Amino acid sequence: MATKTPFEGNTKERRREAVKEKLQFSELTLRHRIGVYAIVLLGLFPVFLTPLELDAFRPVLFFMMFAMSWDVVSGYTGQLSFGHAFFFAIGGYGSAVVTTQHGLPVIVGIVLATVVAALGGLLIGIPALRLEGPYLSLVTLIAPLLLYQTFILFSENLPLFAPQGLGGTGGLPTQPPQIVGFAQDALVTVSGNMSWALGRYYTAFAAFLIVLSVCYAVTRSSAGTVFTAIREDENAVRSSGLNPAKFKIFAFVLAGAVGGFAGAMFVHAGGFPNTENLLGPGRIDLSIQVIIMAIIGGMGTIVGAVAGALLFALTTEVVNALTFTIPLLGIEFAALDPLPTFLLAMLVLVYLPDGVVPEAIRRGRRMRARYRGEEVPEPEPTGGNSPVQSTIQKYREEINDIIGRDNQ
Amino acid sequence: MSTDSGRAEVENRSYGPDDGILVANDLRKEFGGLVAVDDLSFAVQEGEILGFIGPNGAGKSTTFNSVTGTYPPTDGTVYFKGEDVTGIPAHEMVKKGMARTFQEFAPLEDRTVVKNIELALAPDELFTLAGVGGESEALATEIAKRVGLGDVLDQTPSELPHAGMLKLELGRAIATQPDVMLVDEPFAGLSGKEVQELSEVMESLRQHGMTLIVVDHNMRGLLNLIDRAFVIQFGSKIAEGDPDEIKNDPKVQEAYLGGDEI
Repeated sequence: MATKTPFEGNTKERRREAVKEKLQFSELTLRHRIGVYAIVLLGLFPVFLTPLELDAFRPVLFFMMFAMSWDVVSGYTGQLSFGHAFFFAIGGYGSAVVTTQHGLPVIVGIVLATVVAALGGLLIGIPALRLEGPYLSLVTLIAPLLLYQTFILFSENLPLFAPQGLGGTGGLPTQPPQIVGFAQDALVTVSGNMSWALGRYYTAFAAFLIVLSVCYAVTRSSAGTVFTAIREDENAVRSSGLNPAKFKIFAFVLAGAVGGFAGAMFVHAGGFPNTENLLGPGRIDLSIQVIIMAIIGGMGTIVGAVAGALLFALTTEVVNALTFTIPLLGIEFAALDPLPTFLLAMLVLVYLPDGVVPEAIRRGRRMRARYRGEEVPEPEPTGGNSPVQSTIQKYREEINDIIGRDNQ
Repeated sequence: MSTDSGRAEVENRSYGPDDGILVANDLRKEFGGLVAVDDLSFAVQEGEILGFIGPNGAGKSTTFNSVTGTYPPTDGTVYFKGEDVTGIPAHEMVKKGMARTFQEFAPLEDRTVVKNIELALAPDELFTLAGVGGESEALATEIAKRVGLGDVLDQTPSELPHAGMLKLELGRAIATQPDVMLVDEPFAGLSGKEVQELSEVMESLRQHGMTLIVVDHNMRGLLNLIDRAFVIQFGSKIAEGDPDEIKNDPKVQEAYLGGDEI
């Protein structure tokens, strides 16, 4: 068809070159460079934080990973998962049980837990092919609740899988071996509180880098464009000769694997495997929080999930630090937690439907253009949908299909 | 050929797998008790531009939804390039070389024109470096220019006029590199000039070896484009032949009586 064919010459060689070129720092665009600086800064946190502060910040790294896991499936394909902590808990509990109750090495535990969580992704992904969005959301919501019940039901003994039981609501009876720790069963044995804190932090940081790279690579490849196309219009995907079912399942499996891996790393880097840590205090709290994080930061961007988790943690921290008493109500502001954080999320949804990161990029571009005296790019035309908007639109249509069109 | 014998042939003929590049034999689609497509048989010859005409509600869209895998037919067989492809899913059909455009457009609102077309160039693979070197973007740009979207490459679909959306649908279908392309109601709501422009694009596609099936509810605008047409009503074929034959067919005139002009 085309007069000049872009497939001339050695395509493989050129693709490899292109990847290399994209990875060269000097070739990076400003926003990517800022991203790299931010990651380096995260890696340098131990330089300016005390061990205690580091320990307090470490969970944020895991929130980032959890939020990325949600974003890769729900943010990209628009298949909303309301019970994403299902995967984190499978990963965390899985690896803990494998290492403490079967005596297998930490590495084996992490790998097995990741695989099992990926299978969990398959378990949710297959119904996703047949169920319309709202029904699928119910399935995903029930999954962590069933898991929670399983922990209680088999608190003493789960034959074959967990001979010493799953510990009920209080969590597993023993802390699994650490990757870096004091005890002999740790992968790297250290002495001294400082090196221990450093070890835990960098274990979490390494896990963060792995999760970020995997999520980033997949979503920036052509699979990512298919994911977002599924969110927009599955018919368009089909008529482009692409199998939406395959990509949907892949997204769920990937999210499961990533979430499970993060959960497993959590328990081997100082986190204790209990339901409060891995499912949230109210069984589904963590699942809801990761959604809010990803939406604040910018759904369907991966980077947004990272920034959103950070913002979420910061807001919670600020709210908790505000101990003044609210007049009339007579209660401390901090006691309102998590209300103010959720309120902030609502405001973001209304005023920055794209999320903080895409909005920042857009404003940054305009500011830079003005600074350089170039033509200031127009604000985005109103026609283009933001990920949140198209997901909501998709939901609205699906709900209309279910309850009948007359109710519009 | 006389009209009588012609019609008898139309009604009774059945086709084998090798009678054309796309063959439907006794295709039937029922929704509950409603028969939308009633044992319809037809054959499309390689390299032709075929008009597929019928009044509103005649079953045109249902026929092609059954052929292209949107839903499986209740009964009957579909052959594509001599192969039985009855009931295979839509995306598989596209991979076999059969593309279609949608009457209700299905653009991706979140991305530009060129990115819309680029999606159709993405391989159906989970792990791939395809597109990293920029070759699919270059090809997508080329296709967009061919269908007349060269000036609006970076606009989103919602900024496009009606004709632009149609061109986008066409561009995306072309990007799947089809051998047969089904174009659903391309000329509805277009100006004379736009019809002309689009006809030229389709004619040039045919020159490059593509087979085209153009669906419409009347022949206005199609006359100069199509080689042959067949007309369906209530899910069955009522006439087949070149445009002049169709226009003079009494059955067709009856079908359109009081309604649209053929």
